[in-house]
Amino acid sequence: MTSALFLLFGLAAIASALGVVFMRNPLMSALSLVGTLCSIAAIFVLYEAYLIAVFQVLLYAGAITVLFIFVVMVVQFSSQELKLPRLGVFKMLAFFLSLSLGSLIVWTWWSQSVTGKAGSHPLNAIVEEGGDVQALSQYLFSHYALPFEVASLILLIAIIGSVVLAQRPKKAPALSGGAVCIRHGV
Amino acid sequence: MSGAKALWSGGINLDTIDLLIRAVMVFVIVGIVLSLLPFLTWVERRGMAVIQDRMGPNRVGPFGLLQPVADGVKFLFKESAVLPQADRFLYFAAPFFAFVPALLAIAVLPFGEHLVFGVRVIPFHISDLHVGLLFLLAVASLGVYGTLFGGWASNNKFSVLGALRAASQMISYEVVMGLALVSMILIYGTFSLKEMVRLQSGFLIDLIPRWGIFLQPFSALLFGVTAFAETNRIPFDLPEGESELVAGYHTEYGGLKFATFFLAEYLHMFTMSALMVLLFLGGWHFPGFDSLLSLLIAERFQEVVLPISQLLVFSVKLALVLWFFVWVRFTLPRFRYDQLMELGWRRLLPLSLVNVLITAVFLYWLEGPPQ
Repeated sequence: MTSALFLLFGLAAIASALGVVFMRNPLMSALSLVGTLCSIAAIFVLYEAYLIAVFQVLLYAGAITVLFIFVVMVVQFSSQELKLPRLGVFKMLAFFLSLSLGSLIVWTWWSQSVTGKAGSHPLNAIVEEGGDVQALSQYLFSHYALPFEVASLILLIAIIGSVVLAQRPKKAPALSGGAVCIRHGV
Repeated sequence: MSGAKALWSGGINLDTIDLLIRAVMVFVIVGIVLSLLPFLTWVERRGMAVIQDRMGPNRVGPFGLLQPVADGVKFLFKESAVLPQADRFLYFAAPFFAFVPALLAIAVLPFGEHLVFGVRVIPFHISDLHVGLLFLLAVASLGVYGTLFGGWASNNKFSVLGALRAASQMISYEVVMGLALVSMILIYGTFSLKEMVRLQSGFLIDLIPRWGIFLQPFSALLFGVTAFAETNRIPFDLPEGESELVAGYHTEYGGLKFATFFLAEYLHMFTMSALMVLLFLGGWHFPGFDSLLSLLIAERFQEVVLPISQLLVFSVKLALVLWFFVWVRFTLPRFRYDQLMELGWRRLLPLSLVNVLITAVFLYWLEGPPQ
């Protein structure tokens, strides 16, 4: 039963991912991305990582993709801009990168180096802690506190960076006091 | 943990009758909620009338009670316009993107403890997930897509504007709502809604019950405000501002599609009210009521009457909160978009952060470092 569901959601994830890449309409790509994320959340549930599954839907599908869609709706790409430009060098680079990534995946599966063995926090250890939420928070805030803080710092830097990048260039201050009043008023 | 874990790790240990009970529970709860929603529209229209000092629907049926039925029939028979300029798939799909997440959210709402029939336990919920609150927030955040795609697919400037405003309003206030709920989670120590209600039984000091609203009044206020913003209710209904954007993102929708959007909005309102009752108003607990009933009712009926009384208490509280939604709608004027954004990001967000900080410090002072 579990493997049938895994197959189902795995295929759904792959199909949606292909949809993201191959759909012409960028909004349909974003919608396919939502489909991919929800399928992956379902796979997390099959692995009994319920908290991660809910986080996936809440944060990724529910907020981040919404922002993607915002950008697509506000910056309405013309069909000219949507056509891929002739990339030349980058196409070759992309081809080689995806080839190496693909062969890495195949080699990993072939050598079976990620199957079967339990990680450092196997299922019964999680049950001992009192559930996946408790286990995750226990480890996240004690052993892995530093990576956690570093990750939030990186996000903060990204936010500040995007705000800085999106600022309009400062205009010359040749305006009268009236304009200043307009700027500071509500 | 919930039955889902037992389902996957230890093999299926729910027998057929349990599964059947759960399936029936799904139909019962969804059926009851969906049939209450038209009644809610009647309450809204009559309430609107009372506040505006006029009558309201009183033609169709006694006190206009059959008005929702008439509305439903009207929606069914309206011409389903096919817009030539609209994006076909998104135009048809958008109402469902709004409706399905709203419906999914009621899967984790508990309406009472449980009913015990001999050996069988009939729970008053569809599912008591141990991450119930997060699940609810997650599916509620998926509802934004209905708004976005509805506006976009209509291929109409007003709709797109309404959609973008609605979406940005919803995601801004989602952040504040999340932080308001973080303080509650800090206090209760669990994500499970049923567990949170159980922790609200009993008294705090003397006659004050241990409800969330007395433990965390500011969180309750924040949650109330953001619940209005999330459900696009006045004073936050700029996305569908009737006098400004025609009808915002659902301008080009008529008939059954509009009815779906409409139902989705009321369903969302229902979920937020239920959440308010569960988190802040003690759920189905009314201290003293249980002991009063156990004095009045004979022993052998208690097993049935007490759970029913829980449902009753919950319904009364829910009705009060829903009335509050209606009341505010016809009392306050609408926020302008920039006022709305300023309120969300520059006033409520810092306040909610301060609230979390104060709660955390207070809990640390009371309970010491976590073990």
